[in-house]
Amino acid sequence: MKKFAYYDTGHEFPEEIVMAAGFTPYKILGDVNAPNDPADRYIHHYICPFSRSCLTEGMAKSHEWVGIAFCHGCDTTNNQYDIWKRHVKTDFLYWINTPAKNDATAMTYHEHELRRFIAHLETHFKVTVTDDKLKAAIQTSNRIKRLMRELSALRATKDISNTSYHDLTRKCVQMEKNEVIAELEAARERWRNQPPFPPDRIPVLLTGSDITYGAVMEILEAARLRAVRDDLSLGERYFAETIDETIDPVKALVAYHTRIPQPPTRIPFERRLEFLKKCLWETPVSGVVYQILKFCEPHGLDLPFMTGELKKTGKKVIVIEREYTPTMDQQLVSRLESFREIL
Amino acid sequence: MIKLTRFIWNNPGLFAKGVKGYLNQPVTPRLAQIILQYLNQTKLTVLQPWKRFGVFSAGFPTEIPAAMGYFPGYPEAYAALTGTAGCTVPPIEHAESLGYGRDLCSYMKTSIGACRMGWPEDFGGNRVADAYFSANLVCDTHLKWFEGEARLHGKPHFALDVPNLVAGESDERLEEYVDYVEAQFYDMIAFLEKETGKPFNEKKFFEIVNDSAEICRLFRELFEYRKRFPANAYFEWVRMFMLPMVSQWNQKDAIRYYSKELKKAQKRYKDQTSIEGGREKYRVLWEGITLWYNADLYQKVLAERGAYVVCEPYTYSFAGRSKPKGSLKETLRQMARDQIIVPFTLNLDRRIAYFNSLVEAFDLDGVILHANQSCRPSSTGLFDLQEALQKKWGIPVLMMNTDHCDPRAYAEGPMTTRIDGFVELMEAYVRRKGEGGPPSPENMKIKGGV
Repeated sequence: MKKFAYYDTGHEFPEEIVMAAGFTPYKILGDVNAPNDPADRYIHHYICPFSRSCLTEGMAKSHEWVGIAFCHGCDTTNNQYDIWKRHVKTDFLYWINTPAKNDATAMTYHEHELRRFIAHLETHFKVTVTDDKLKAAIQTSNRIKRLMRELSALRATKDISNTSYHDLTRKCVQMEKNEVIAELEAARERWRNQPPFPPDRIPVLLTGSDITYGAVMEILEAARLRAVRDDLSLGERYFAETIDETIDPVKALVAYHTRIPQPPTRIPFERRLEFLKKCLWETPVSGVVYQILKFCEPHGLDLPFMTGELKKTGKKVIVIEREYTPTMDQQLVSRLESFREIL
Repeated sequence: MIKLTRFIWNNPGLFAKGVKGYLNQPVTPRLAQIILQYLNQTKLTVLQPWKRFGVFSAGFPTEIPAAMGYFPGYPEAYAALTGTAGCTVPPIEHAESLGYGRDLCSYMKTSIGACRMGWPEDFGGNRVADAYFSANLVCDTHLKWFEGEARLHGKPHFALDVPNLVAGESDERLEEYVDYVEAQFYDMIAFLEKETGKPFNEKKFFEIVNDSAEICRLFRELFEYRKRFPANAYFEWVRMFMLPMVSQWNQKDAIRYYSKELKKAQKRYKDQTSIEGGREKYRVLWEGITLWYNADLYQKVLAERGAYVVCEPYTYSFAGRSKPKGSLKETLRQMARDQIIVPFTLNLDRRIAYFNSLVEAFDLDGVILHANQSCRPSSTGLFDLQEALQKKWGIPVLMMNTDHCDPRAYAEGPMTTRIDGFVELMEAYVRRKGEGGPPSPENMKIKGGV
């Protein structure tokens, strides 16, 4: 099945629409191992390195994708669409202006945006996206979300490495969906038979910038911290909620996006905080790791308020800023080890 | 006044520095009076409980809350003035100690730091508002910053979500966005009615919209005189002169003031393109927010080399308000259009076309692009803009990597060296223009950080 790529700095993109159109949604996640030089010709070095990596991937790989869609996310996404339009070769580049709010007006508008996207897909690719196809896609998507919830829950009780979990979350947004289901079912069997949660590991809640490569997870592992809960887009934000299968599918998608753990690009930020508190209440964790990718503005803006609120829960919180690099940052490891000592 | 007195008592050295900074601005006594009146009125709202104090992000359509009695407070204006005073570093560092990163908006950090330290409006702080209003038409920072402040003080916040009209979008698409923004305007009216307990004052609204359109019209007309030789005003003046338009406070007074300035310009130039003094040696466009802390960059470093900033989309971006239409609905829709298409936030295609028109209209010899380390939206797309301008005109472009309100990001020595190089390129460009030869795009750019 042909891949349809999307650039989304949260979990805004309606994968189900692309699935109903007969394509495999592919989330552009960049490649931390590849230098950003191609993108640096067009974007300043003080702008999100992840976004530059995505542009680098876009310029190199767009021929593998039938089209690309952007969702309104952080300022980085919003402003870089124009650069992609100039420098990434594709026959179909589309902008979905997902709203920054979740109220009734925003939901009406969001529905319009999704229907418009469907119409453009139908016209350009000469396909028909029926309600039945959408409902089938939603069912597939929900199946993945339920499986991921089961797998995610095992993190707190079994010996599941941070990297193993992260690998699955990446597959969810990049692989063909039926293959994902097979992978997840196989993983469920393996994970159920894993030894119990190791006593030398400390369970933590992981939040902050989206983690798009495994090295960050390895840093946590090296510090003997296990992320047993999170609110990341490659993580629980993606599967914490399921999509209503009983109502109009487009309306269901709109409603779904208001219920998920909110990304920092949406307001009000209480919704995100509520989810994090719920994680702390549901799962025994020893502390919170709040990591921020350098130059990540939405999380930088949320940080003082969110960390203050999280500390009020009585949990210890560590804030770390990380570079966009595949290398194991030993300074971060040391800091996290020290953090572990105080937990 | 208590805050100011306390500030002076606690920070005598900083206050003296601030006064010196303010006095270094090229403002007339009348403009200084207007600025002081605005700052004092902000403070006086504490003693006027019948007035509501609103805090707004730049560019927010204040006409709607103003019609319901909200005084327009602008943290960015207070921060900018603090920048001119040269006093932003302590509040910025205070904000950073609270967890705000070095690369985040220096307006925001100046404001947050100054507020937390209890500084007065003259030095970046502001009193707690009755309500907070912000829009993401410029950046997401506005939404998050004001939301955070509202939460901190337990006050209501109204967020206006303005879609991005990305490159290649049609007029039909614009109208779809207008639908969404218009719907939010009605939400805002409902929000205001709930907060004030009063029905929306449509009559007052139309009056305010009419006056704000008139202020903008006068500003735009004055801006036209900057096309003449020599230009009627330069950036270091206009950036202060725009305050009455940006704040939209005391509109009648602003109209009187701008009208007088326009009459002065009309008298000065009559219908002549060039008057005594003639064309500047180098006429420059500045893209991005001004360096508030560095008036000397414009009035000394550039001016001493014969270069003057005669045009900047930044100030013009605040002059886009239209006259009221026949009905509330149509007026709101026009306001929505004015929110979506602003020179400062144009998509790349429109931005390049706009800049091409400015190069001709203002007879420019050089372009300075401010790569602003704490303002992502205005920094994005600058390389493409630079390339497009150089390809079409061969015009020298200086990419200036610094920050609008954080002087720590400005390195005077290296920057002056680069400005010298830029001026040399302009010299060659002007010479070629004079010879009527084709512009040469080669060797016409200076890049790199400080």
